[in-house]
Amino acid sequence: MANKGKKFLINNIVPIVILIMLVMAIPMSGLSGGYLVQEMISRLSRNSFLVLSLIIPVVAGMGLNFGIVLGAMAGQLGLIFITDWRIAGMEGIALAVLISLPIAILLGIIGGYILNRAKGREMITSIIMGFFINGVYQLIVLYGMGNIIPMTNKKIILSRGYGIRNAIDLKNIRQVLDRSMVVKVGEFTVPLLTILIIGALCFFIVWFRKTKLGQDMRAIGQDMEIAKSAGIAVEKTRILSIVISTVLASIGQIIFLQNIGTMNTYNSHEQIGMFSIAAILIGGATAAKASIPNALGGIILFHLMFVISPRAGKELVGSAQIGEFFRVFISYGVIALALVLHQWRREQENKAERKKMMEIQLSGGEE
Amino acid sequence: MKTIAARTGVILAMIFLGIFLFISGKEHAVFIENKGEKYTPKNAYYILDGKEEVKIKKKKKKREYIKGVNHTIEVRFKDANGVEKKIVKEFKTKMGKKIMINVAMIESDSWLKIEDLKSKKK
Repeated sequence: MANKGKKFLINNIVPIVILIMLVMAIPMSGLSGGYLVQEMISRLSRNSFLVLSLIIPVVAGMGLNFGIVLGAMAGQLGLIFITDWRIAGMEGIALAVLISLPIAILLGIIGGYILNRAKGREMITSIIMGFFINGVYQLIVLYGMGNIIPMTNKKIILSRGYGIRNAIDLKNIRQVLDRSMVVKVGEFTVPLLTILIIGALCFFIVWFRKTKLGQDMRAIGQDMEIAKSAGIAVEKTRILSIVISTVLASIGQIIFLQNIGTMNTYNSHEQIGMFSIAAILIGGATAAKASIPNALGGIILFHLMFVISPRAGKELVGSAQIGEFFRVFISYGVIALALVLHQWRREQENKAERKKMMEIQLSGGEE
Repeated sequence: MKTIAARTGVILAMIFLGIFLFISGKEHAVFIENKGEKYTPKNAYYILDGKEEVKIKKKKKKREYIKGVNHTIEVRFKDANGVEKKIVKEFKTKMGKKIMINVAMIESDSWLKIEDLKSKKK
């Protein structure tokens, strides 16, 4: 019983520590419960799709996919085109998704191939891959659009005649999803359609894990060599997991930006990978295990920190900036800690396996 | 062969869906004017596609944005005899065309003008 409790504590140490900190910080912040609940509803609907897109590569043993920024870039390209063509409303969102799909699939395939060449170092490779594709994205958006790719909307083009402006006003699709079906629960406003879409993705993930492909991914995640011996096309399945993650991230970025209503052309996608990964890790996920409760719980905890830290910092030390620094320190500290723990666990497992093999060999020798 | 056919089908369906979304979601600018040849009401009111009512003063011009192809405009004004009138008209938008509606002439045939959009690159 004590062992079970200890195991639970070790496995959930990150969310427990964050929860304790939040419980202490909420009264200090002076923010009302109602305000916090409304903020969490809106932030859950905004970020869930992106964070949930991280689960499938973890199942396939590829760790936390920092490469979701590739999907985010695809989503942003879709949004740039619909803003240029002046497509409004739900049709605009659907068309942005449609445009981003082939781009996300292509980027996912490229990403999957690269990650297959860097087995065991997928996370760092996906970070660097994100930087590389970001360069290509900037080249296309800054020089290609208006030059090679014809653009007609002068509001989004730089005054020199080519390249996209730093900020794009997404007024044509601003909160279209969130406002199309709204339910009032007491004093809270719930964006029902967005929540339903996120619910559908959760069902998809649960269903997907039970399919043949999902089981194959699980087998690869547990042991790649055994999966290969069992006749599973390891490389192809790993590529597919990255493609699915990238496509989901592109849709997630569109949902995220329609809620915000403004797109920062050259920066919006950069932070997405770090923020989503920090959220899922704070929810108790690891580089080897992630679930839907980890994702949703993590978003609540991470974003509560976002809302509370500046206010708590201001109340405690008279400076909101200190609270913000503290939040940044915790967020990135959690990522670093999770990655170190992951590597440590892997080394421990390898050590244990080596010891086991040695024992088998020694006992075999004696016989 | 079956896989290629299925994939081609999906790609074609996506292209058609994209075209449909482009046409039905495209926003068009419509210019609404209150300037008649013989008589111009002091104030006129119009409702575009069932949205909120907008007031337009005499000899003024307004720009509105509408989405899709088929539209209706409901115009309310007082005629020269002081009788309140309400007229509903239907119109279509076209790609690359400029739509101008004159609410003062809504009862005549020349209430709607469609012109080509000027390209500045020429």
